[in-house]
Amino acid sequence: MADTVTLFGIRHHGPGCARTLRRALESLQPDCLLIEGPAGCEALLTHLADPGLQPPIALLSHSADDPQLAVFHPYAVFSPEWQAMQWGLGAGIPVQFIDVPPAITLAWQQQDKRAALVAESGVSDPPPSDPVSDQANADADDHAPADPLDWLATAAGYADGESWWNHMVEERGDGEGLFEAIAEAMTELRANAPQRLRGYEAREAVREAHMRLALREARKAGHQRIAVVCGAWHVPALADPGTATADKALLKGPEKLKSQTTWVPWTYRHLSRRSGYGAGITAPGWYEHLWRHDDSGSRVIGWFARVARLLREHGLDCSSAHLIEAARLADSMAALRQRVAPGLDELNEATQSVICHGNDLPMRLIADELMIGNAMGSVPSSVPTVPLQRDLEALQKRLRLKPEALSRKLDLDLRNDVDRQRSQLLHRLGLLNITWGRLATVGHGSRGTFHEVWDLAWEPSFEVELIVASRHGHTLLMAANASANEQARHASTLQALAQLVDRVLLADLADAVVFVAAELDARAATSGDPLALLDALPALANVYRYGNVRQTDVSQVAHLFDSMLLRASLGLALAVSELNDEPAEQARRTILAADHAVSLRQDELQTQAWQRALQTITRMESSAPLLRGLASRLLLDAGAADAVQAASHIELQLSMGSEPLPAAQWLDGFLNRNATVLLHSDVLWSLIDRWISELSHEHFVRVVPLLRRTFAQFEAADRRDLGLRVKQPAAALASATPTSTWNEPRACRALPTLSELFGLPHE
Amino acid sequence: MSTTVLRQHAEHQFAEELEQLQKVDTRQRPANWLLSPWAVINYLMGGRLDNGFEISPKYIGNPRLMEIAVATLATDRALLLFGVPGTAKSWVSEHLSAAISGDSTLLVQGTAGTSEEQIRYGWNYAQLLAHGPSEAALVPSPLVQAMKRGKIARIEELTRIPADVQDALITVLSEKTLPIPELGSEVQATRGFSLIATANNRDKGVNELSSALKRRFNTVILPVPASEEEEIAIVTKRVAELGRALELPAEPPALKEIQRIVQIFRELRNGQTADGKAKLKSPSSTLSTAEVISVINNGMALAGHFGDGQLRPADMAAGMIGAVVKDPVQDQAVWTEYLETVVKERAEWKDLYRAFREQL
Repeated sequence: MADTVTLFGIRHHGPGCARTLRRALESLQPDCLLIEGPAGCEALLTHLADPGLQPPIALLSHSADDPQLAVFHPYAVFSPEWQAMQWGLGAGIPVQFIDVPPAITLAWQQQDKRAALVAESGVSDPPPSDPVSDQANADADDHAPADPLDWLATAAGYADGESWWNHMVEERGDGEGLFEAIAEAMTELRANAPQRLRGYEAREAVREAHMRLALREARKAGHQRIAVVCGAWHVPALADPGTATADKALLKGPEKLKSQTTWVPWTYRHLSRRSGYGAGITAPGWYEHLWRHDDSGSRVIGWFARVARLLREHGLDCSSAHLIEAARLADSMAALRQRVAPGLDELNEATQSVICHGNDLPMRLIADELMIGNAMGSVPSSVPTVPLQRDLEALQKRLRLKPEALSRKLDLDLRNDVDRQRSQLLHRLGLLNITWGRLATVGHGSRGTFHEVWDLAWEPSFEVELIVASRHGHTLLMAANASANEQARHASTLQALAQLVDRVLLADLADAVVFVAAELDARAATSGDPLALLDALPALANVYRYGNVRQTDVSQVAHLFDSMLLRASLGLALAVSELNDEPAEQARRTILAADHAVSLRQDELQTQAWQRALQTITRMESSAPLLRGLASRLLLDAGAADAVQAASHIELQLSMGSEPLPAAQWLDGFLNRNATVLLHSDVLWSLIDRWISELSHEHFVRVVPLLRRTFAQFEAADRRDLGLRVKQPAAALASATPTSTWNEPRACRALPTLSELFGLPHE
Repeated sequence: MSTTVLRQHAEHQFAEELEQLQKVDTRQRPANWLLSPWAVINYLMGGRLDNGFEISPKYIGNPRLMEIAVATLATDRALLLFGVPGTAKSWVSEHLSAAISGDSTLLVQGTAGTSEEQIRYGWNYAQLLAHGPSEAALVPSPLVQAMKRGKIARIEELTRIPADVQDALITVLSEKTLPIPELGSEVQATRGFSLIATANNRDKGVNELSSALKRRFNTVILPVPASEEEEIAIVTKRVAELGRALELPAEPPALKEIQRIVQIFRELRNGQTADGKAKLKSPSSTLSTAEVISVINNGMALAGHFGDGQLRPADMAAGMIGAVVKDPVQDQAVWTEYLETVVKERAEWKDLYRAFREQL
């Protein structure tokens, strides 16, 4: 058997393995290539020749009936399987996948899901349910409770299996005898490793039986040099011949589901362990670098050069001298740790110590942009449809919404169940950047009503968007949730986040609501700018006020609103001190909007906190006069300050001692572009009248433009009334107020009815 | 050296350990190093040697940091130990130089008054006047001595030294040479020479290093204690020791009180609550472990002299606010926010909340 079959035990996504594998295939020249991949999906390999197919991509298999069940087999350019497929196609030899077909993995997934449901409903014995669905491809070492590689690593004196493997396999230059060594290590491990979870053991046996059967068939077909590329863990099982009957018996057992498979674009972020992918790797970007740089010298320098470029792009200093010193430190650290060449750990530590001066913020940038990387694969349009598309089609059918290129209006009544679901569908698509429907803005208050008016127009480009979005999830619900979470992480302002809260609530994404709200809360806590916090309030207040129409749970929003308001109120007075005209004008708009938001919230405690903040502003001499005036006015309107207090404020602000320009700004703020208070308060009228008449000529000339602006923004009718009032002397006006005369007995007769109407007790 | 000195140098106190390490150390040593880099790490982190001799740990924390530090010195780069006060910067620097050169005394203490003469060389003016500029009239600084002998020189509190004086180091670090124009000669560093500087990263802006100088250092940041338990243990131990030394009349506080204070410090320092659920703003103050100790000591003194001898929240409130609020405007806002959003919400912290509230 040794003469016909060569087993290559690899680690999924291991660049060192990939390089050695290519070299080994080159020298072996096999006539048949068997790869651990979902059996029956070989037809899709034809797309490999299409230049539109660029890794990272994934083979996505999903159940035909339930798109929620899906398995991904991701491949990057440095994945040994990918390289093997490429080589096999180039050499024109048959390439076959030998792992169990997706039909079985999907059925397993369904079992797990059912078991999880049962466990949730209160059965005591929880089955081994792994929440990550896309790890059918994962090696046994990823299923095991602890990575078996850890045992080897501990024996070799390393902290964890990952760095041991990286150092021993992926980061070394040559690969002589690598696969023999791996096979030996794995045989030893499988013989001695403690028992793992039983559920997976049984499934693994099935997978290995399937692989053995495929191997037997290939041999039967008369191939002379068969190369098998599989996870290192499976090598000993494949080397053991076993009996065909036993293997067949094993394969009879599992239930099978109807499945479909296609290519979808993938990203390094999804390939990284951080994303929850079982066979994930810590640093896909680093692996790609390893793949592209063969020898260790150019690898270190090349990496530092990329670090330097990244840091410079972000405005951080990094000279060539830095790189030289960093490379020296990395080398001597590798020597100190008795390694042949510096690995990622050494490079990172050298970068932090030499280039970043110990600072770890740039390191996070490096981790994000270089270690993980932003690469995203592409898929040509000729590949079959993805489950997300199927899910959308099903939804469209159920909700009777046909995708039509022609624009049409759709009026939804949100009290109606179907219409509400339609609205959610459109909002969810919006979160995936698929703007099939645009919300027509019918007046300002449209959101408070039960109606939503949409403009529907389907564009062909949405199909592509769907494929792109399919990396977020295979149902619309999952994809929209994941996409919203991603947007939350990347949102630049608090306001954007608050609007996102609104959008996810409209789309009824319970998971995303929790996540986005938590993100908003965390950002709000660290934001140093109370005005930014205030900017985010109106969106939240809207959600709170109108959320009930859509039967959404708003208690969380209320909590968020309260904590943000509290934080903003505490710091507001500081934030508005020493502002110039323009920022003050902006702050004015923010405060006005926030005041409106607070009144929508309708909560005693919050209103008090807000009014305390406003009080502080009115008293602080350092805050901009415009805002002091505005705060006084808002307090007066809210009834937190009475007319007497307001009058004394005005008197103080407009008194002889104060500079005319700030006084005029104060007045601008106080009048708040609205003449009502002037028209209805005699005290105020006379105070302002007196102030203006007492201004010196020089001062008057200086404040006139500002006053003119203030008054120009009043309504035309108000301005006319004001003019009329100026014509009449104040005293005459006061006396003109009619003294009402009425017939008391007759008026009393209305009282019983009135008290009935108001629900007052009878006297 | 006589044992009556108050505190011995590291190389004397741990002479036996260094000797034992030298015996077993067969690895390659950089020029003029007494130990190999591997043995230096062993000396710092502690452990058992092959011959059964026990090395005590000098630094408790992440060994990778020490590896970076030693590798830096092995590449003849200068090392800058950065960190908030009380993170064992000087301690590490002393032990590194003791282990590498067997001499931790080539030390320049940086202050606002440190002059260029203290860094480079001064003159013996009697000699200078009598015989004119000569090698004999030169008074070398510890740095120059280290260069000549191929040892490690140490500079404490580098950022306190005025910027123009700091820059005198640039040539020394990049060209390993110190010109003496008065004599028309220069001092060239022997192999093995390097420099360890310590600096306080909360003092940014005092005399921040010029980027030219910064570039010549590899920086290692020594972190504050990693876990709450570790920090509570340090604080409890130190408070008990200090209380005895200062003869404070109050009872040492219960563990619970220390836990609460440490928790407040850690939460504000880390910018999030202990349960990891909420983020917080951090004040500009250092909030080091040393300050926790001083807040508690202060409180004990207040309780002993003016209170009932029991440490109450009110006794600590003043010291606490003093430690947190260093900037009367910004920090005050941060502190108020912390009080209103975190302390107030914790039911069992009502007494603390009231005590702090009264002090505002």
